[in-house]
Amino acid sequence: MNLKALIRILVLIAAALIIVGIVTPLEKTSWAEAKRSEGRGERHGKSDHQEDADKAPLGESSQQGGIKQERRSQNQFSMKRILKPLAKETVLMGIPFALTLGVMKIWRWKSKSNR
Amino acid sequence: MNPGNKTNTQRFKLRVDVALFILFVIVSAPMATGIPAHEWLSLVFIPVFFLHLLLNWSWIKKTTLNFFSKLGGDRRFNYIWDWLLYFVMIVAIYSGLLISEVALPSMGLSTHPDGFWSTMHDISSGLLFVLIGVHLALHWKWIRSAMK
Repeated sequence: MNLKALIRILVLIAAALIIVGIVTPLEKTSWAEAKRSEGRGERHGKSDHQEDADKAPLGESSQQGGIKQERRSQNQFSMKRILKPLAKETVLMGIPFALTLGVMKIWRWKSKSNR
Repeated sequence: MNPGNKTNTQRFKLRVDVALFILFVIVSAPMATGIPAHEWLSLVFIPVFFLHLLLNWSWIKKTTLNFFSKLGGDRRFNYIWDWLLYFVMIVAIYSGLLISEVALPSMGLSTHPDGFWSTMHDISSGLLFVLIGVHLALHWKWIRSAMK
């Protein structure tokens, strides 16, 4: 690897570390603390395994319930499971994409007509 | 740009960009792939993301050096947007690594998933859709010419 590429990678890593440094102290803010305690019982506050465990039927240990639920969901292959997130992605990316292209087109047309 | 004029670097760049986009689409759907595939594919996504930046280094360098002088408004906006995208991507990657339940623990690295980093991961990955949608539109001219 040449020195230039190494320097570029180091610059990217340094920038990434700065971003991590900016973001990390947020964990200690009251907002994060409040959110965390409020999040208990909500989707965000739980890991997927915790959430699975909560779905376990009564009398079954939470771990067993979680594993069973996971296996069941792995076995159930449905197009809906694939298409739903894809549709969400298409909408979330497609709308800003189309809007930006539209704005750029209008902006170019305006600056052309101003000349 | 004529297809004949395309250099090997441009072709390679396009292939990396297409791979990066496909990986992003797959990685962004953990409900469809399941958490293990989501985490392992994310680990593949990270080096491809950095390769994408390295391949476009000359644009980054040129735009950084000319930011306060020669740049037009659209290019300046593009540059700021790309920085924002990098910021959010790093947050998504970092928080994702911290809440890893399968990939990192299987490599012997202990993680401590908590609500704060889960929330950060959810917010940043949600924002990424919008940021990438706009990013693609801003570079649409290059994408179209490279695809021809």
